[in-house]
Amino acid sequence: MDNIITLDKVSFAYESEDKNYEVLKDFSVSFERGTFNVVLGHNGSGKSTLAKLLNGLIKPVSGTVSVNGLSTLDDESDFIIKKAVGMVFQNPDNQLVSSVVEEDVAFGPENLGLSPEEIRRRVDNALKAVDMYDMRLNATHKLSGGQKQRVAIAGIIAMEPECIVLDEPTAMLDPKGRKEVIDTVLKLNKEKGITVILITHFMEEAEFADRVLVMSDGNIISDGAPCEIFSQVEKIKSAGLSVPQTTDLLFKLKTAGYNVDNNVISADVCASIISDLIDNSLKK
Amino acid sequence: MSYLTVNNLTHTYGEGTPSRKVAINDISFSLEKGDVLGVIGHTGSGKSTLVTHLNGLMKPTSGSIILDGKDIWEKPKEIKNIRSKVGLVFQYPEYQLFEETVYKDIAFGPENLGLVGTELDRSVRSAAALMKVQDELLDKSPFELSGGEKRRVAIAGVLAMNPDVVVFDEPTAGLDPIGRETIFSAIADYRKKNNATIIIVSHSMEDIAAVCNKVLVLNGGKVAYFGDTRTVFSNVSGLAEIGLGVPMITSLFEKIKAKHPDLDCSPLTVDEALSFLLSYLGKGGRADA
Repeated sequence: MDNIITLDKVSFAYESEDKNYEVLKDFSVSFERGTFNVVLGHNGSGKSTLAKLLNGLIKPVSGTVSVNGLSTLDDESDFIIKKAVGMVFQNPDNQLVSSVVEEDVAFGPENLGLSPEEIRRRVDNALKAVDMYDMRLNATHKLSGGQKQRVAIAGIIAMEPECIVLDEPTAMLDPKGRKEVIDTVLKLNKEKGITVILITHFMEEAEFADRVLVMSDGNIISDGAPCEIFSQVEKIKSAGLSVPQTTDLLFKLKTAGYNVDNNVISADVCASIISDLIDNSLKK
Repeated sequence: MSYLTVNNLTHTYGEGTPSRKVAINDISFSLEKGDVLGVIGHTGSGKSTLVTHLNGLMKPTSGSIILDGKDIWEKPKEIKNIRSKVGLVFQYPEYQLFEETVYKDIAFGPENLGLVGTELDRSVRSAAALMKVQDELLDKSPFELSGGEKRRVAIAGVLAMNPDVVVFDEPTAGLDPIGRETIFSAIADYRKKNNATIIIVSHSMEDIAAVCNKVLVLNGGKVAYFGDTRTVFSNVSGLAEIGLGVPMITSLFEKIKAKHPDLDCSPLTVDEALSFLLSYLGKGGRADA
């Protein structure tokens, strides 16, 4: 398997005045190139720590994180790693640096020392990829939350990374903004083959993932394809996460003894499962 | 008689300038004591402008707000008194913590209302207990707390003033499911204890359906729908037209009803849907049937 990022027996602790908080211990996981990965976990499960370890924003206390075979502990690789793995954070207002959309997106490539033509090309492509090209001359502070988050993503795309890590990018957005961001990330994965690692509370966002990981107290408690994970309703609830209402209803019907698949999220699929159930009961 | 009435409320920003904008336009609704109102609408639909009028932070361009039988702007110099009756919890209230200790932060509001001594201490401790802020946290700096704890401290600071009406703007934004549950159950406890009127602005139709008995839908600064929760969420296509949804479970049943039009159920929660299906299906379709 071609892995872009590998964590090998990684431990990490935050130090405070009186004690150390060990967040991750002997944590190992790999992410395959070109895949769409979703990491689910409650507050304090260690998922943001994981995100920051992935491109060397923080370094492991023991164990190694390697990106394309280069360790994040090696200072000389630092720049190459940060170029390969881009990060998008939760709060859109904290990530924009310029007052005009296209200038904000150009900030990264300008710092790579590229030619003006190359910067222009990358900025235009990045803005088209997130569907913000028509708003390239707008003021950043007047955008909606979802639009700001897409500009932040464009800023990362303009660096032409191989992988994007998004740490709860939709937590502060309304439902419309949430959909815009998730659709954009999906498109980048499918059309440009960029590896995506999306960290979130919302199981709904895992519907189209290749792989879903569930974290609790610094450990991976589930790892598999979405349909395998979604059927583990009790395990997910015990990890402090919520389950979409469709999945929850199917799970409760199954528990009551009905013969239904409960590994779905989509309302359309769920509706047809329940319609079939009604048809069958009418026949009897 | 209704406890809080909003009559034909209109607010225009930048009147007489080129950037003049009517933010809310002719809004009317009324609430009883003990009501829990959910306010929904897009970004820019006027939700925040509406709620900042309710405790007199903004003055209506026209229209009035009647609280407990009195127009809140009847004596403009006494508008401060309204702030002790109507508490407002802004979005991300944890950004507004500023005191040295959690205790002092919660005490700031009631102290400014003139509470002292044991009365002040009692209001701080009871608000802290209600928001599940443990005693050992009270002497800590608010900045040492986790995000969820900070949020609860900030809300306790408003509840310590014992308001009759409490407005929450997106109280659970950014929290995980357990954090959301803690906040909603604390709000419910406060309402029950004080027979308070609660107003919650939220983007989550599922949360609104689970906790509110009335819903106000704003669109372009006007009231699109107002009424009890079930009635408002029965306007599935009307809500979809203005780009808002209904709870996932309600829309699921709309899809099922497209194939089975005789199904008489529009559930607002998963448990409602489940108990309907269990009685409708009987034993049919069960693995052991």
